[in-house]
Amino acid sequence: MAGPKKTGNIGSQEDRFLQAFKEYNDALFRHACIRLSDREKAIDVVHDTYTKVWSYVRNGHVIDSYRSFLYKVLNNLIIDEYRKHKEQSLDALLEQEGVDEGSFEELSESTVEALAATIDGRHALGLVEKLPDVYKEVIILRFVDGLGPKEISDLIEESENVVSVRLYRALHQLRELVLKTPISNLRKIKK
Amino acid sequence: MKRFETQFNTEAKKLSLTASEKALLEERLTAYMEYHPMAVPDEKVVKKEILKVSEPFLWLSIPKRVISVSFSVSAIFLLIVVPAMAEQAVPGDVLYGVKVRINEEVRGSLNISAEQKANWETLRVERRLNEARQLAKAGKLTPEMEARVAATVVKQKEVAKEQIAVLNAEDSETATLASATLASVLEVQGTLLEADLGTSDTNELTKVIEDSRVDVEDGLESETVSKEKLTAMLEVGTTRAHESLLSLEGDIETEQYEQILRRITDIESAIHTSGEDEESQGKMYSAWQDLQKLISYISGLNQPSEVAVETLVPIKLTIEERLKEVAILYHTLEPEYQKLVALDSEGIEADIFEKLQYSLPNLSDLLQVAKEPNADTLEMAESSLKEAQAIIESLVTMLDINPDKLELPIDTGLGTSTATTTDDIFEEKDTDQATTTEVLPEEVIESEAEIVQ
Repeated sequence: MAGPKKTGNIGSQEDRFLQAFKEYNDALFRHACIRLSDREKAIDVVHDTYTKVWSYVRNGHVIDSYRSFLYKVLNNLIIDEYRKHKEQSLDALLEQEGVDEGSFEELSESTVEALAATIDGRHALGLVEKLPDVYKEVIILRFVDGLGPKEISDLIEESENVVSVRLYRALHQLRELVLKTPISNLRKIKK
Repeated sequence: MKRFETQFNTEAKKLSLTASEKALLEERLTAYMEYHPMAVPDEKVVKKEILKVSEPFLWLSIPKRVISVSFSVSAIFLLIVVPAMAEQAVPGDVLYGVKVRINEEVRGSLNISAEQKANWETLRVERRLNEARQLAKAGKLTPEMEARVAATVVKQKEVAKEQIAVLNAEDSETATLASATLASVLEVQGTLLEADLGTSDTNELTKVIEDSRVDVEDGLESETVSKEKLTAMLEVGTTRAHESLLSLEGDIETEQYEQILRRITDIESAIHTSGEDEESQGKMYSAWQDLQKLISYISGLNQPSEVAVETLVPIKLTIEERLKEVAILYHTLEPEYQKLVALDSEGIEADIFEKLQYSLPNLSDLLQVAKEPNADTLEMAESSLKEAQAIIESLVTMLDINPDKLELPIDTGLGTSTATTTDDIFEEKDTDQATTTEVLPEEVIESEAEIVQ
């Protein structure tokens, strides 16, 4: 992602950074927008993500993979945003919302796929915001941003097993929501 | 799952920044970047960058300060230490090539005028001879080395002569004096080397040196040098001699120091007492030769030598010293004369007694001339006493008298000739003018020592 390497090649670092902006600004915005359910906040968070990354670059550090690094910063900023607007800690929030972090031994990708196949994707996006953020996070990273379990694992600093379990549970809850909610009641997020 | 993922993703993709939002975001970001530009690489960091010595093989972390210090030390070693060490080298040493081909060539290149070049080449002859002395003292002067040194001396002498020839085209007077200097150097260093070799046998190397000296002196027209030129050169030369001697103060015996100082004083006296006649020019030229011998002798004292300065540059007595010496000799010979007068014919063959009686008036006249000499009659007094001494010695031999009984001053230094005529003595005086301390009797030497002090 990024290392302690330093470089004196100013021009090339600027070019790489601006290229990363062009490539990922939409994806980051989409991720932030779904997570925060607020378009303006999402833009601000994306802006803050890029300024933080730029500060890191201008101090001479070299970033190997902008995609992973940008998602990591964005994710941290979103968590900060949650903490800012919710008095309870995220852990307390998780507990309150009944998130079970219990593990499934030998939970396979095929199990997750089988579960996902039962959900109507067209209506699910509008219900994601109702999920606890930890579930929302993995759902978006997996199905919007297209990251694999390993990448998600690195990003949220959890084991792949935890990621898979969390993803399974997230999908399970999402399916419950989709099944329970009539199509006419689905609230569309502001586009 | 693919279906869910596709549907979910398609819905999500409907969320995107508008063109204006994207432009605004980009504008905010670029503004931020302008206000927070890339930091200029720290100069200290750049300075501490490791030095890439040889990329394909290794990286050496050598601070530039270490490199510069190492370079300086190496430069000092190569430019100062090695040449300084090489100055002590002799033929056969590792650094001898540095001494001859680098040190001396560099020094030689600093000489601009023809006179400087001639003097430098003469000095190089002296250096070669000095090296020969070092080899001789170290017992390294093998026949092969001797031949090598001899060839080098001859070659260097020729180079010096060539430079003097160049100088001659510009200034014949200075060239003549330069030749005299070269001859003096060869004579002095040859004498010192001969003493160091410690053998009276004719050595091939010393023979080459003597031949070289003769070669240099051959055709030398000393009379062409003007008195003014000699005066100027002598004044410069005596200053140099004083400086050279001062540098030896403490390194040589006080007596030796005084002896050399006395010779320099003699030369200075010659400058100040010179007249306008032709004989005066000759004396000045002789003083120049003595001065050059003295300077070469002083430079040769960097190695101990058995050769006394008197051997090379005899002392020049002042008028007062000569008057005192005449007085001493007179008071030695006069009592002997009285003893001869007192002899009677008893026990002496008639013809021998007749000869004695015939000589006594002559002896009386000679002693009378030397009885109360002054500066004007000094030379006459000296020659008279020399003749009187010779007559007394002759009479003693004829009478077969024990010299001890007569207490004759045998070998007084005024000459040991048995000449019986004044003309003979005067002729001898011309070739043996100097009065040396070595050949004077003990009491006279003591007296001379008092004079010198």
